[in-house]
Amino acid sequence: MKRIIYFSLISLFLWSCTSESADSFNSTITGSYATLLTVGDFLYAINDSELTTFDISTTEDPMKVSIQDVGFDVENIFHQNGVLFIGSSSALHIFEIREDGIPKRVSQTDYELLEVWCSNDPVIVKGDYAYVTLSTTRINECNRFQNQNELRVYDVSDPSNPKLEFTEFVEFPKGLTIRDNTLFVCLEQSGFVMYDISVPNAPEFFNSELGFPAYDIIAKDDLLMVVSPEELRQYDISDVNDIIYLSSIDL
Amino acid sequence: MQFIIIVFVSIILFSSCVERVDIETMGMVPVYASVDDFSFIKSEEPRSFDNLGNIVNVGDYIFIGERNKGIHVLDNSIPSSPVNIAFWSIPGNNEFTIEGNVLYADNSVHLLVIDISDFGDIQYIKHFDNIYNPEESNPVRPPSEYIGPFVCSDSQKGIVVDWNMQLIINPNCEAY
Repeated sequence: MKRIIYFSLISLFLWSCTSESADSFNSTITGSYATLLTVGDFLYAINDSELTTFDISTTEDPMKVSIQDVGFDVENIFHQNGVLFIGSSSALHIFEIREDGIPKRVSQTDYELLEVWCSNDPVIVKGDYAYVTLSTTRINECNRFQNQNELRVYDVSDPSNPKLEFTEFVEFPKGLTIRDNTLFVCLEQSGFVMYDISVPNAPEFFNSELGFPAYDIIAKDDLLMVVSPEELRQYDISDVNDIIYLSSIDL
Repeated sequence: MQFIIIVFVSIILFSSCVERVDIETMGMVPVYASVDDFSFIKSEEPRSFDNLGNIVNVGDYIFIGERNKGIHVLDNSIPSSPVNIAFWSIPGNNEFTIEGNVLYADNSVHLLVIDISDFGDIQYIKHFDNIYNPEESNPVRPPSEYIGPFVCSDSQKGIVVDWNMQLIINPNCEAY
C-alpha cells in the first residue's frame, strides 16, 4: 500500500513539474540593438538597408521567403503585437506582419535631425507608445561632437501615422528597456537613468545608477541586466524606488 | 634659357633618386579565414569579456556577443552570482538571436543557423548567403588591451580569426 502511495505521489510531482508552463520564462528577450528577431514561425533579419524574412517553421531548416528595402543606416528591430518597429539613424520605420508572415510597410517617420550620420538610435515600444533614443557615437569613426542627444516618445496607436509627443535632452543615451511603468535608459558614459512612465507620453525622471559606462539594458520580471563594454551588471528591480545591486561579472 | 632648362631637368632627375623611408616596426597583423569556412564555429572554454555588444536572455541563461568574435554564455540561475560557462567561437559575428535550440548568427557576410542543443558542442547546420555587407560592419581591431600599430583589417580578404605580432612595414592603423 505504501508503495502505491509513494508511487502516486512521485508521479503527481513529476506530472506537475512537466506540465508547469515555462513558456514566458523561457521566451527569448533581445536587447535594444537586436537586428535579428523571431516572431512565431518567422525570423526577421535587418542589415544596413534591408529586411529579410525567413520561414523557420521547420526546425533547423529555415527558408528565405522575402527581402525588402527598409531605408538606410537601419539599426534595430522591435516587435509588439504583429507590428515591427525598425529604428534607423534618420527615421522610424513601421511594418505590419501580414498573415503570410511577410511584413508590409505602414509608415516612415523622419527624425528631422540636423545631421544624420554616426548615431545609434534604438526604439522600443509599450502599448501605444514608442520610445527612441537618438545619440551620437564618439568612438571609432566619429570624432565630431554632435549636439543632438535625445529621448523621444511617439504615439504609435495608429502605426501609419506616428506622432511625436515628447522630446528631452539626455547625455549620450544608448539602449533602453521597460518594466511595468519604469523606463530605463543607458547613458553611454555614466550609467543608467530611470523614468516613471505611468503617463506614457510624459516620462518623469526619478532615479539613476551612475559610475560606469552602459551600452545596453534588458529587464526580465524583477531582474535588470546592464551591459558595458567589459562587464555585465545585474539589479533586483522588484521595487523600482529601491533597486538592489546584485552582481557584476567582468570575466 | 638653357641654364634654366638644365636646372629644371636636374631637379626632376634628382628628386626621382630621393628614396622614401619605409617604417618598419613590430605590430599586429590580422589572420584571415574565408567567410565560407565554418570550421571555426565551435564551443570553447569560457573566456574574459572584451568589446561586448548584443545581449540576449533566455530563461536562466544570458548570451552576450563579443564583437567580431562570438558569444559568451552565462548561467544566471543565481543572478547575484552569474557563472561564465562557455564561449561560442563565431569569427565575424556581431548579430544573433536564439529560438529554442537554434542560434541564428551572422559572420559578417552570411546568416548562420547553428544547433545549440548542447551548449558544450554547438554545431553549424546551414547558412544563407550574403545577408550582410561586411563593409557596413565595424572594422575589426586587435584585442583592446593592445596598444600600438597594426595593419587595418580588410573585409575583402575574409574574416579575421586571429592577430599575430610580427614585423610590419608602413602600418596604416594605430591602437591607443
